[in-house]
Amino acid sequence: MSPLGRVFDVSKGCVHDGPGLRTVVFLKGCALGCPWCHNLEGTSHRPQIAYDAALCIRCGRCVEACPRNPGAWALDGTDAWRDGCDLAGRCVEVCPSGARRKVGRELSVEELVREVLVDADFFRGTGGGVTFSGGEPLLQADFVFACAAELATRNVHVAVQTAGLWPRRHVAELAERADLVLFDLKHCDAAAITRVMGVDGRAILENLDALLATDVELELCVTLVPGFNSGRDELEAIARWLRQRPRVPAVKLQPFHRLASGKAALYGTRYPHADTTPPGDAELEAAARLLREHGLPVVAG
Amino acid sequence: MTDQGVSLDVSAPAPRPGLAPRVRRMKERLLTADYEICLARARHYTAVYRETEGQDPALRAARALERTLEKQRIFIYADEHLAGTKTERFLSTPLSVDRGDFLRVLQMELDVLEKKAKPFKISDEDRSCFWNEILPYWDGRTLHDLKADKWRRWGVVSTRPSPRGWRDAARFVRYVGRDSLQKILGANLHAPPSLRRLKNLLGLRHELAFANPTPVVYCHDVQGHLCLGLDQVVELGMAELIRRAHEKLTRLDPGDSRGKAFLQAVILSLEAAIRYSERFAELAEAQAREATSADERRRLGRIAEHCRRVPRLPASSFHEALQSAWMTQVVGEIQFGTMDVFGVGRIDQYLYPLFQKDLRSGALERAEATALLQEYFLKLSSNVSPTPEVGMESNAVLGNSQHCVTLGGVTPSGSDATNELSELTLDAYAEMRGAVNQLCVRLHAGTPAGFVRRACEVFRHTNGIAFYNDEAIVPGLRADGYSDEDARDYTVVGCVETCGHGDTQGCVAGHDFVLPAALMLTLTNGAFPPAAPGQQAGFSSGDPSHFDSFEGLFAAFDRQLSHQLDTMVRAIAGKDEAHAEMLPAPYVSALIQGCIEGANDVTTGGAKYDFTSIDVRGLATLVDSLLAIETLVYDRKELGLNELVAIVLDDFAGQEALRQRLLRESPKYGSGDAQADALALRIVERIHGHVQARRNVRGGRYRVAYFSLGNHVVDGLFLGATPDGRRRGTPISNGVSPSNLVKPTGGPHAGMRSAAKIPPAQASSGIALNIRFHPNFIKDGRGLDTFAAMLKTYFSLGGMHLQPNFVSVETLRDAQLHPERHRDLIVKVSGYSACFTDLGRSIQDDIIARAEFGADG
Repeated sequence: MSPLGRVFDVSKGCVHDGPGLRTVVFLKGCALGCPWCHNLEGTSHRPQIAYDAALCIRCGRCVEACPRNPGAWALDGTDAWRDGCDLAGRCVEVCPSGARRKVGRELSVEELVREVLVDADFFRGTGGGVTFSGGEPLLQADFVFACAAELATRNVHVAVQTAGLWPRRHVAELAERADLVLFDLKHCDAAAITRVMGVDGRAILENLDALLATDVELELCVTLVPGFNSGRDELEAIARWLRQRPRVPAVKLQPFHRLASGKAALYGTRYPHADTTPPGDAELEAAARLLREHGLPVVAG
Repeated sequence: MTDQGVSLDVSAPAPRPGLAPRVRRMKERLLTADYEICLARARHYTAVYRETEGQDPALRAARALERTLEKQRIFIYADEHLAGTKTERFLSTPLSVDRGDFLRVLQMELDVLEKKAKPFKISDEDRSCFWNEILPYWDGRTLHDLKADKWRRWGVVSTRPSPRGWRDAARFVRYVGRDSLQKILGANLHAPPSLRRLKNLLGLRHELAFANPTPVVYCHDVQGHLCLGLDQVVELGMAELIRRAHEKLTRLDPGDSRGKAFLQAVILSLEAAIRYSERFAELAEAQAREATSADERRRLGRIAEHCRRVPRLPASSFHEALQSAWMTQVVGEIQFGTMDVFGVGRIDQYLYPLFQKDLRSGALERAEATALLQEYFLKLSSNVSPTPEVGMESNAVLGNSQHCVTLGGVTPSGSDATNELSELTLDAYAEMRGAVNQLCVRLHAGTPAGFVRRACEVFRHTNGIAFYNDEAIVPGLRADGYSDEDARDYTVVGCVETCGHGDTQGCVAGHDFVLPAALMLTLTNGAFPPAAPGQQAGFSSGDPSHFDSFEGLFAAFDRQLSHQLDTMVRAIAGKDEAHAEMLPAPYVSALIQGCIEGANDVTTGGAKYDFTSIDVRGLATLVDSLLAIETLVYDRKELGLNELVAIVLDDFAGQEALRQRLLRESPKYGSGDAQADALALRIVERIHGHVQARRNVRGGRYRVAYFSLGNHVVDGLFLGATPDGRRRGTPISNGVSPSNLVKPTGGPHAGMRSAAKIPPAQASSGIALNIRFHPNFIKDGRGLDTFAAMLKTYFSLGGMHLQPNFVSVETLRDAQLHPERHRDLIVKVSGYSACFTDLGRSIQDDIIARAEFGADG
């Protein structure tokens, strides 16, 4: 039986996640706990119910439909009545405005491939394709590889965007199935990764090394986060570390951004970095110059 | 030249030379100039028409033009290297008193125009002349009056007596609602009341109906909107055209008095144009004598030298060719008057031989050619029209007449036409951010990739380019009857209208058809939208209680469509007959192939190709509405049709949940849904089916276009809610673009795919597809390449046209707050380009509400 994937979004018409015009498939679930994560729907493997107060017309149908009988609709616009939600999803079904959305649906390989192949014409015309992202797509490696194999038969370019924490055995298949790996490198100091994300930083760096030992096309993406990796010392350390790898990949720099602040509200949480100022163009440019001086090929992000 | 290769570095924008100081000064002057009303043309036309009553209309038209060109004061402004002024003010319009439409505007709203935030200025002398001499003479004598008379006699408008009219007015006001009414009346509400205004208002209370005889049909007074044969003048000179007219005169059947009068009028007009140019030569010579610097003497000396030779003789240099083209255009604009829209055609083709010659001989430097082209662009945008308040919600004032320039594409024989001059013109345009005229770039499979990419790159700086696909458009023109060569030589006129080059009476604008209004009339058996005073009573296309199925509804809609198109055709016939009887256009005719040869004016069918275009609006709103009805009423049977219609007419009061479901639960056009696209095609096919067998009064075919200028916003003001969930007073969809109400889950290319399915032969007059991208989409070389590849893919699927906007919501909002910081921000509306800060608030909001792609990253 073909594996099922748990997907939280299929985003069409993207241009920043690989060559050409792309469809980005966002998969649910990630082991890393990056405090600045902007794909909050991607962290948990479980489906979630998002609530967008801006779309809500306060009709109260969701509360009425809930099998847990939460009582009256609180007109204060908060979502407190959902405490103890068991994800039955009735509220989503009855919501007329789309304010309530179930985030995370299960798709078979065939279903996903059918959905993305709608754009086969524009993939062909622009040299684009499909990018698997997340979350951490390789936590659902069977699904991703099966989709990639199917897409390969249709000559669709496949990119996989990963944060690098997954069993080492995936390396060979990833290198074979993906036309491009977009590797989000958080830091080159394993201890720093462990400290901030609470995961085994060494395993991530070893996975990157193993990928660099294959011939898969690989682009590194470094998200500059003030106070974590954007200082001169950290950047120089990253540059030096990368220079010692078996091959030096292209590096793309992007600023951390706060778009997730609005998103956090959809899930009733608060975005911890809401008050951090993202690096500006000048800082980004300075960082790029620094990496270039160290001989790294920096591409625009 | 910039590197044409793939650059991945965002920090290295293409090096640009910047504007020459003189061009920068001219641009600044244009963007800061006062808007003025000039009565010079009006006075001279009034005098000549008064003196020539009862004479042949072609000769009267020629005499009036001749008098204006003889007497109107002329100017050569600082820094100009190309001479030719249309009015006696720096930024104004030759007022078309003879046509009468803008006379009405001034009659109703002159006081308002004078008191706007950016007012139209008029001298005391001109104001008093307007009220006391011009208006009284033309009362009952304009083309507008003649057209109105025909419409009354033919029943195109209602002739119901007055008491009923007042009831209609009250019903109409109730229907559009207070908010919309305020926007429709605009500054009228705040203008000081006066007896004159009250009298005018009462006298003109039926005026709406004489442009808008039903809520679906608009038919304005303009004709024309075509591409003059400027190439002919550049290559042959007007003296040669005069010789041909004389020759034809000698061979004319002696009994053909109309032909004789026409040819005499042609000769008079051309001779007057030549003399007009000579006046500039004299002025330049006089100014040169006074000039203190050698540079000034040289500049004026060259103008004098050029204006002595052209447009009379064939141009002998690139500079002289541009002078010839501009002067020819100026006289055309004076003859036509306000809202003349003359595309200047394929300048990279007809100016190329002289460009190449001068470049080779060393007589011309690239920088000089660039500055001349830039001056030409500025001159083409130097027009303003006194837009009535209702139009202000949707229109810009500056650059209102779009004289677009066409580049690239294929030659008449089918080979690639892109040349060095195409590239230079693109580069010249790259620096022209803030000049509102648009550049139309034709592409075909053989267009060099570097040119496509360069055009996309120029776009990033200016936002004023639209792309046209020869592979789709040329076959559509062939189906209309163009020869292979003439079809391949097409050019763009006005907004997006594809038209022959100097050989076509296109009538591409002024006849607009509002689809969602036709749907509402179908759903209410003719009751809503209610007839405004003077409008026809709504057509009964069948009792909706008897529409048992979607097909029943569609059949009734088709009857409504047929009736409304029939009204449209009769309305156009009235206007066209009036033009033929009263306002022949001998000067324009002289520059259109076929007219001198056949001794026949463009208004009576003299052009080699003759068409009338019907411009259809609100396709997506219609499709989404029909599918919302199909889904909820016929498929799911959740409520009855009459029940739904009652809710819609009540603007969804207390029914927000249902409105949300209408917005979300049925298939939507432009979102990648096959059913919605199929319905759109079915509607396009029906519209084409209804008009294809018809002929205009000159025997020409009807063609259909799908674009809306900004008028989809005005349509929205006059229209109650619609079943797609659109609320009362809000804009309907523009061109062939998806509705702003639809969440664009399919990406920007989903809209392209839907538009690409429309058969060019059924929309051969043009389509407008607007897509707004965040500038991040093309922020680097890779994004630019991807955009260029998307464009090519869309065209390979059969798309005819694309006009993207690369501007973010943040920028647009900031421009609303601080217009002074964004004076040079150009946006595509639907078809035409405009300064964003010059646009009315509603259309600004509509542009902001459009889906935005590519903000991430």
